[in-house]
Amino acid sequence: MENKNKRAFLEAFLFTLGIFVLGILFGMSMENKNLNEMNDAFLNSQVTMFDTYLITTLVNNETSCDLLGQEFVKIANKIYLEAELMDEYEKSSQVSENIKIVHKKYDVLRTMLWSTIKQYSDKCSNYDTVVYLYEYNSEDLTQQANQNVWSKILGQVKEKVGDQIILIPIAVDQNLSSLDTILSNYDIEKYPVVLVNDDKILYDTVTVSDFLTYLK
Amino acid sequence: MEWLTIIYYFFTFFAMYFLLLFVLIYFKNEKKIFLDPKYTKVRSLSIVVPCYNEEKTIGNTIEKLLASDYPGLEKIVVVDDCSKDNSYSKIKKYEKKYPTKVMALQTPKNTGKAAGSKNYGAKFVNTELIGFSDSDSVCEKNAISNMIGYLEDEKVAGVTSRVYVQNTKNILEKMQSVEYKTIAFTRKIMEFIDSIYVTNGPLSIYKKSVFDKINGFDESNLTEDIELTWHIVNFGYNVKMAMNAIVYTEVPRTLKVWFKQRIRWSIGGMQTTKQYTPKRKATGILGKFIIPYFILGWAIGIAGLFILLYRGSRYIFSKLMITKLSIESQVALITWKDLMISPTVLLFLGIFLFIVGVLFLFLSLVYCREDNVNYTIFEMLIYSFFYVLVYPPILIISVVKYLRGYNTW
Repeated sequence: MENKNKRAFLEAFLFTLGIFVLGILFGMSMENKNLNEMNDAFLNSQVTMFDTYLITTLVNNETSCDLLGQEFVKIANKIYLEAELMDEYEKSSQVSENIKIVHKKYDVLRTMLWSTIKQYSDKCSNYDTVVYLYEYNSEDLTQQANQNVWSKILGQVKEKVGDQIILIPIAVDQNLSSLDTILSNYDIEKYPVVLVNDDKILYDTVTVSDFLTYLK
Repeated sequence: MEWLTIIYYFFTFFAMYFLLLFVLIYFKNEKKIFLDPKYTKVRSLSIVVPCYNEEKTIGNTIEKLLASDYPGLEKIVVVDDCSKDNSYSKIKKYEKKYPTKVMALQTPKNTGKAAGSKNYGAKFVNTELIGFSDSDSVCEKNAISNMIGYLEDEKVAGVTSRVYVQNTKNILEKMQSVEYKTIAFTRKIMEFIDSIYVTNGPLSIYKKSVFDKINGFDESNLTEDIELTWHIVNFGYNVKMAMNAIVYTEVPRTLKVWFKQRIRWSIGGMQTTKQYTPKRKATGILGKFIIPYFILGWAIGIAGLFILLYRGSRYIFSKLMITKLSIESQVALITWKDLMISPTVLLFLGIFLFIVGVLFLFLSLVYCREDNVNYTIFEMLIYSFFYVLVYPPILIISVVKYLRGYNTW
C-alpha cells in the first residue's frame, strides 16, 4: 500500500474528529445562545413577578383587585409564551442539560405565581385560574400523549378567552418543596391534571367547549 | 446526555469515518482509477464456468468468453453440477463445436454449491492462471486482457472485474443496477488500501499456484468467493480490480429470489468472519481493517434497526394515542409545532453525512455510467431511502438462520 493511502486512515480519523468537534462546538454555542436568551427572559419575568408580588401588598379594595387581575394575567401570559419558546430550545438541547435548570427556575416562578394568586382568590375573583400540572420527565407514552393533548386544549382555550384566564403550567416532578407543600392540600391521584379555579379537578381530556363551561 | 443520543453519536462517527476515508482515498487516487496495467507477457489461462440449470444463458456465456481478445485463453472448462434441464447437452454441443477450446464436464453427483463445481473444474486446469465466471454472466471482449496485467506483479494473486447488471427492466433490477455500480466503485477505492474483500463470481482470475496453495474454494462456505479472497489476502498477497474489465450479469428479478440471495450473502459473510477470527489468525490488512469493517458494518446495521424499531414503535404508538385523544377532544391533530424540526447537533451531522453519502453515490454512477441505462430521480430516491434500509432486517434474519445452522444455496 502506498504511504499516501496508508496516511488516509489517520487523515480520515482526524477529519471525522474535526467535523465532530466543530459540530459539537457549534451545538454548544447554539445551546449557550438559547440558554442565555432564556436566562435573560427569566430574569425579566422574575422582576415582573416581584413587581406583581409587591402590588399584592397594596391591594385593599375592589379597584386594586382589577389592577391585580391584570398584573396576574400579564405575568402568566409572559411566562406561558416563554415556556413555549423554552420547549423548542429543550428539543434542540443535546450537548448540555443546563436548559433543564432554567425550566426548574421557571417552575419555581410559576409556583410562586400560583401561590400568590391563591392568597387573593377570595378577595379578587374577577378572573379564572387554570393550573395545569404535568410530569416533565415522564417516559410513559400514554401520559405523554395525554399531556400533549391537554397542552393543545389549553392552548385553544387561551386563544378563545384570552386574558380572562390565568393559565399556569407547572411541572410537578422537579423536587420543589414549595410546590409539593401546595399539592399536599389537594387529593390528586395522577398526572396530568388541570385545576380550574381551585375547585374543579380534571384528569381526562375534554373538548374546548366543555372546558369553557367550567370557567366563570 | 441520554444513552440513545450517545449511541447515535457513536454510529454517526463510524459511518462518517468510513465515508470520509473512501472520499479521501478517491481524491488521492483519482487519476489511477481507470489505469489498468497492460500485460507484457502472455500467460496461459483457463476459465472455469460452474453451471446449474442455466440452459438459457450458458451458451451466451461461452460465446462471449470465446470472443475474448486475450491470446492466452486456452480452455473454457464448463462444469455442469448435474442440472435438471438441458444444460449439459448444450455444453456438450459447444465442446463438439470448439473441441480445442471448450471442455464439458459433469460432477459425479450434484454438489449443491458453486464452490463444488468450481473446485471440480479446477482439477482439470493446468494453465498458469485460472479464472472463474458465472454461467449467467457475459464479459466484454477486452475484459480478460484488461485484467491480466495486474497479475504480473509478484504480490498480486487475484484480480476481479467490474460487474454491471444485464437486466434492468423492473424497479428491483434497477435498484440492483445502482447498487452494483456503487459496489464496483467502492471496491476499486478499497483496492488502493489493499482491502478488496471479495473477488466476484461473474469474472475473477487467480494465479493457479496460489489457488492450489490455499486448496481452492471452501465448499462449506456459502460465499466461497469472499472466503477465497480473504484466504489469499491472509497469505500476504494482494487482490486487484480492473475497472476496464466489464462483465454483465443477471440479477434476481423477483423479491423472493433477491431476498434468498441476500440471505446467502450475509450468512456467507458471517461464516467467513467466524472462520478467520478465532481459527485462522487474520493478519495484515485483513485483521486490521477488512474484518473490523465487516463487523462494525453489521453492528451498525443491526443496532440501527433495533433503535429505529424502538423509536418508530414509540412514535407510532404515541401518535395513535394523541390522534385518539385529539379526536375525542376535538382539537387539531397536527399543529405547526408538531411539524417543526428542532435544529440539533445530530441533525446537522446527519445532514452532512447524508449529503456526502449522496455525492459518493453520484460519483459512483458517474464513474460507472452506461450509455443505455439511466436512472430517474424517483429511482434514486427509492434507492437512497428504501432499498439500502432493507439490509438491516436481512442481516437480522441471516443471524437467526446462521445460528440455526442454515447452510444451503
